[in-house]
Amino acid sequence: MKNWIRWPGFLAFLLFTILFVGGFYFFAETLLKAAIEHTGTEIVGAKVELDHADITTSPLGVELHNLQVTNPEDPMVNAVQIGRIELHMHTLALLRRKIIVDEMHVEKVRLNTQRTTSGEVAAKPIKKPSSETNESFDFSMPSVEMPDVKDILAKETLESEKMVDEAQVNIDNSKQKWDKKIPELPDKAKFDAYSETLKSITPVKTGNKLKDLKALSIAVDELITIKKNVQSDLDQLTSAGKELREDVNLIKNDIKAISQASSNDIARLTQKYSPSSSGLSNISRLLFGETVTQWSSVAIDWYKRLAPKLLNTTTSKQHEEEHVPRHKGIDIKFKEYTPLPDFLIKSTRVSLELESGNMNGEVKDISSDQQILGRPLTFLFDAERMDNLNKLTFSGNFNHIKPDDSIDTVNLNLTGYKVSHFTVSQSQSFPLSLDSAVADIVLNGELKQGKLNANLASQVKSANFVMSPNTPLDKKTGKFTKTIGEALKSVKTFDVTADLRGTIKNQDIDISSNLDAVIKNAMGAQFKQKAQAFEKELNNKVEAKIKGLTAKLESQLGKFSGIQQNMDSKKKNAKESIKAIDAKIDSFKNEKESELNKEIQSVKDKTKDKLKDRLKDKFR
Amino acid sequence: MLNTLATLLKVLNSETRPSQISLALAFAMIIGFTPLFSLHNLLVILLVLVIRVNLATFFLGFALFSGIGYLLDPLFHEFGQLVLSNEAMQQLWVSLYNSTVWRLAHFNNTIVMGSLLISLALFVPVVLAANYLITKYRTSLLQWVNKIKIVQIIKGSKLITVYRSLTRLGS
Repeated sequence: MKNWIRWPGFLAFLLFTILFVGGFYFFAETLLKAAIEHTGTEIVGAKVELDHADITTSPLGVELHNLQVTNPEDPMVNAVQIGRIELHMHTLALLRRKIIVDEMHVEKVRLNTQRTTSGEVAAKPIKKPSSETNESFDFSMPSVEMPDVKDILAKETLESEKMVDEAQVNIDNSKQKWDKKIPELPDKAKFDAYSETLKSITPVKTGNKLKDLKALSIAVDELITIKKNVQSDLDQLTSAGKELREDVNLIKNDIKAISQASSNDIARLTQKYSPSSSGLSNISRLLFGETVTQWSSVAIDWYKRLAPKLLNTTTSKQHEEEHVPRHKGIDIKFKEYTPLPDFLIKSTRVSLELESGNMNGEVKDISSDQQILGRPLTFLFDAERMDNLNKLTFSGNFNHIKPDDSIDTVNLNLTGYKVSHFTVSQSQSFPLSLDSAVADIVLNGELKQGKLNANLASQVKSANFVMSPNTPLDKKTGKFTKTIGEALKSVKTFDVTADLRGTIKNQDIDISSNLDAVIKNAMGAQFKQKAQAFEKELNNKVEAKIKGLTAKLESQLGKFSGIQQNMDSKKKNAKESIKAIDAKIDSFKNEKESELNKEIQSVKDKTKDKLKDRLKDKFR
Repeated sequence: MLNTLATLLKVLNSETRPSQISLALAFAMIIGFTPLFSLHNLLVILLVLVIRVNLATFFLGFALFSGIGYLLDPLFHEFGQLVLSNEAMQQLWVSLYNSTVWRLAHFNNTIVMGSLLISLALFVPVVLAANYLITKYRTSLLQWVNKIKIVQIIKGSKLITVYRSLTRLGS
């Protein structure tokens, strides 16, 4: 057994343990600094730097000096620079892998400080605001030039023109149809043939009365047959005539509809191209849209970076889909007798050193597991009588106690904020700035179950709008730009309201201001005059164009009148033929009747004579 | 690579008892399979240093089993999750979870639990199997291996000469 034990191994183990622990302690501050810089850079997407970190063992605590967080969108500027952070941790909790801090002090916090070196991370290029976002608020003055009607008519397809084409197709089809149909209808030759046949029907008289009567009957029968044929031809002509009238009526209706469509075309083009002041109806969106979008995107961007780490914004669904990192596994959480979150800073006292003065605030319950803690993260910052504002209150509540039913709210209340040299529009076509003003701003924002709803209301007093005097004015819009500039110079009080709705990824911004009415009034008369002139010209040109086209269509209706007349003439022929046949039939019938009567009378006379003779014989 | 091969041959061909080599291999399996910075590995290191196991084999085994362990990670995770979510054992896990020492041991991690249980389960079989194979090797294959040209080249190489002189100095 003795051979199995290596007693110096104990010493080696002790040496190994001491070296390991000692080494860890020796390098702990360096390791902590590296960990903070690495993790911070990962979260922010730009360099996070720390001058140095101190670790104290009794009580277990950390002190961080000069923490610089680069603004990811401007690598030469620190979004925030913190002079000193001090915190003390619960040692026993730390052994149980829980960071519990009762109070943390964050001192000398400064915003937007200049960096000496770029904080850009090479691997992850700084995400510049997309040009698309800028374009959406690019200040383009509504067009006030009267558009060229000729150009408009050249590029626009008129509904009435389409209808003209359709009517032409209908006319062509009808023409083809009637060209094909006319030869099929009974023509003059046919009626002439009837006349000839009619003339030729004459009963041949032999003197034999019976034979003559039979010849008359045959002639009448032949005449009736011809009459039937003529009647059939007449019916055919009548039906064709009716069809032709219907076709012509349809074409006439098409032409009528074209006139109506041209009125609609004029109305549509007027609405589309007429110089209108409607573009100015939401000029406040153009004036303040860029600023509001910029502020909201910065706020949302930081929320997206920090919330997943500080608030554990993962919903239960996302938990189910969580990827298990290789070689790390997952830590299963069991019920704790005294439940505590993995990470908790009960109170963080922050002192900010701003250009206009100092501001203090407190953030409570920064925790990775609000569902365990049962309390939301809250914060409150306030300041009074700073250089450029009377009073500021900034508070918020991030409630993720139920991750699937999270509600985050922020409220900002600024009173007497002195605005100075605020660039309203950087656009070269409209370089407007608010030289000085006093604003009261109220912001209320809520993010409930992923749905964003924020409202910013600002009342501005003592406003002094200034337009850059050296900017060359655009030829087309210069006059109007100047008019708007002049109108805004007289504005001393105005309000702006911005509503932000949507989700964290996609928001709609609605901005309104009473400045809209001021500008619209100033511009309205000029726009109205231009619009009337444009409408008149458009009306004349469209009507002239369509009238020409409809006249061409109408002229083609003449062909159908010719066909109609031809058919009427044929119908007349048919009717005359029928009349002639009827007359001849009547004449033959009369002749036959007269012959029959004569014959009957002759038979009667003969019979009478015979009877007389017989009576004479009897009485003799 | 040559150095590793030489070390392995030296150990196998030496007078070191097979049980010392196989035990070192089994300890290396634990430390290789489980995450290195785990509390139980401190105990493994203590045992490796105090019990007269072959240290060269331990280090070689550690490298080998670390590689295998990386490949078996998904298996360790699945097994650890299965054990930790076992309803019948919940009471035990809850009581351990509320103990500081056990929390330091990080037993609630699926990979720590899975890999530790699997390596402990394989500990005895690995010792016995390695023992048997080393004995077999020494009785049947040793002479034949020594005659292979590549082995002779390795044994005669300058690196091995230096290594031997160093190990002699060390002993």
